[in-house]
Amino acid sequence: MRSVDYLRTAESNLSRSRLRTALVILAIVIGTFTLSMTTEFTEGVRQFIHVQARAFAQPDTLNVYLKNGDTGRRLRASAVEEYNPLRAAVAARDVTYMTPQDIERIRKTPNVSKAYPRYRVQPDYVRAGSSKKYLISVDSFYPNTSISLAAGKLPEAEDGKAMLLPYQYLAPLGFSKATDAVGQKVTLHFTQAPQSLSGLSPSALANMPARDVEYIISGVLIDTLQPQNAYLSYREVTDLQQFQFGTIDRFSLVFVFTPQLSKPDLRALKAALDNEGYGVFAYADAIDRFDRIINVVRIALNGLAIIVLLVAMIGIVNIMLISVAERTQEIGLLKALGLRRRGVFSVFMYEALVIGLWGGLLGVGLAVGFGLILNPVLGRTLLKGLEGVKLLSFPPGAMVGIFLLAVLVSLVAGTMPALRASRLDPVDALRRE
Amino acid sequence: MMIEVKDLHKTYGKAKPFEALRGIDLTVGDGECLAVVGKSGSGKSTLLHLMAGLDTPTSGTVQVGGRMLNKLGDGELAAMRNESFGFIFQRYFLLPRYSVLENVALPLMIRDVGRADRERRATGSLAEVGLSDKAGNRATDLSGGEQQRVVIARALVIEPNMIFADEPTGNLDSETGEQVVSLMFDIQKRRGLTMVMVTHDFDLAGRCDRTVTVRDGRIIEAP
Repeated sequence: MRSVDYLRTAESNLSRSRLRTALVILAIVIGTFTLSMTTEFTEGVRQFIHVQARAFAQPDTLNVYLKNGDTGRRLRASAVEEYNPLRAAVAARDVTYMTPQDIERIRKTPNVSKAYPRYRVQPDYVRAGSSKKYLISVDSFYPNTSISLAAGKLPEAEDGKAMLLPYQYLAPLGFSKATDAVGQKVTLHFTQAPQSLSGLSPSALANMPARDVEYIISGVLIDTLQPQNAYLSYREVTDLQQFQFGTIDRFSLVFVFTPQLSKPDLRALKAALDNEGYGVFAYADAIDRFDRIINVVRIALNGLAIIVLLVAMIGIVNIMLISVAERTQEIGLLKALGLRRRGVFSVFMYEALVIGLWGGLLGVGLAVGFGLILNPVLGRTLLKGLEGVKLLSFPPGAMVGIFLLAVLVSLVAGTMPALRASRLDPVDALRRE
Repeated sequence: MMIEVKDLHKTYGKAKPFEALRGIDLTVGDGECLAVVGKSGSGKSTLLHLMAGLDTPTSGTVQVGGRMLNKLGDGELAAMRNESFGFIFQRYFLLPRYSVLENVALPLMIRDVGRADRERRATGSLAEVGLSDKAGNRATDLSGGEQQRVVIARALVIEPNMIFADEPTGNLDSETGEQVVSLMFDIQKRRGLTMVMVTHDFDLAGRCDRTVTVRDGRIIEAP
């Protein structure tokens, strides 16, 4: 028989008991739909976290700190270290800072393209025109920084008057939406830090030199679940550091840019820095940690979906065995008329194929349709303002893969009944009343 | 096509073996019409199935058109049935969801003949049995006599050398049975086909060239 005849025969046989066929296909549809939805959901969450993370940090950057330094103790998260009384004593006594020599050493490490001191300047407040005053933290943007924005654009790295405003500050500062804020002015208020805390009184603090600095909002960061820092150019932050703390030669973090690194290269770079006495906190590590959690969730959810598919598979086997039993005479006739075993096998495999094709197509199609409808709804409600976020994301490759899996599951399910049919004895079949 | 059967034995079952055939020797000449008569359970249907290669003997050989059936594989045997053997069954075995034309064309579909070609040949075959006007009907909507004529058309569509008929009139009243039988003999004579017909109807058997009687798995001489 020709493929087209097999297909036509399969369709004709499947339409013989429509309800039964519909139910078998439904089983595959449910399995495929579930698997597609869990894939869409975990992929959506993964992308969501990546976009969110990009509002705080960017790929291909590292924070480098002194392993024994103040920040080292605070940032150290992944390693459990042995107790060292000497170090504990040092840590308790004072804080070790990094200096320009550290920058030089870090710059010489292979695969480090740029290294900048990361200053922590602290404004007293922010205000826009006659708005109330709000607390805010600032961070630096460096040449080639890339940060997720809701509106506006990234300023030139050397532009001392530019500022990136966190989304959460829009309403308090009197902007109705992100695009309105772009190009507007805001003012940060800085006060010089006292050199020593001893004998400091509130009046003395009030008399410390202070300045208002006006910035132009160049862009607005995307909305995030946690408020983030405002960004100023690293030149501006350097000047502010000088003003606020009287020196730019003491800092506790170095911000390092690298080219895009493979995991082994990144590991090598971290090992090299570790040798020099530096700890490293990489963006990639943070993302990795999230991805690992998401992968566990993905495997768990997909595992459940695959169980649903397996149940569907058992359903197909069951129904097709019934079908083989019912069509014993027909199989006998086909054999008598010269259809070989292989041909009888194919008759049933084509039926399984048609079931798999429809089940896979409808299941994946339904899931994609569901996502297309649900994403805008979620965007208007649950995820309002979180720009660029689709909670249901369908990577085409995965969708095609799930479709093929449905077909495969169906074919595997069809094998046993098809084999049984192909082995039927034609005489038995024709004799049966 | 000639059939030569030598010392054919067939035993069914293992725990309680039943000897359906106990040593049959038989020759059917090319173009001959042979009737095989006997009571039900005598083994006559088993003999027909073995001669048509639908079943394999426990021992002994069947040679059809010079080929030993027990030496052929599943594919070769299937091809031989498809290309040379026409079957007429008591219970017709027409596919219920298919039209008359599709039923007649079924052996050609199995043979990979393209749709236009097989429909053309099936149409010719239907004309030969006088059912051209029923081509589009559902096969199982026809009367018994008409259904058996569709079966004859299905057997003829492959241009067979050989017809195997198992109680062709078993489900028909005598008048329709007579029509079907005359049609069969007419075609058999006209085309010079070899025909083996199993029946318990002695009148029908008498219209064949020769009759053998099977009793308890052996051939006994005609009464």
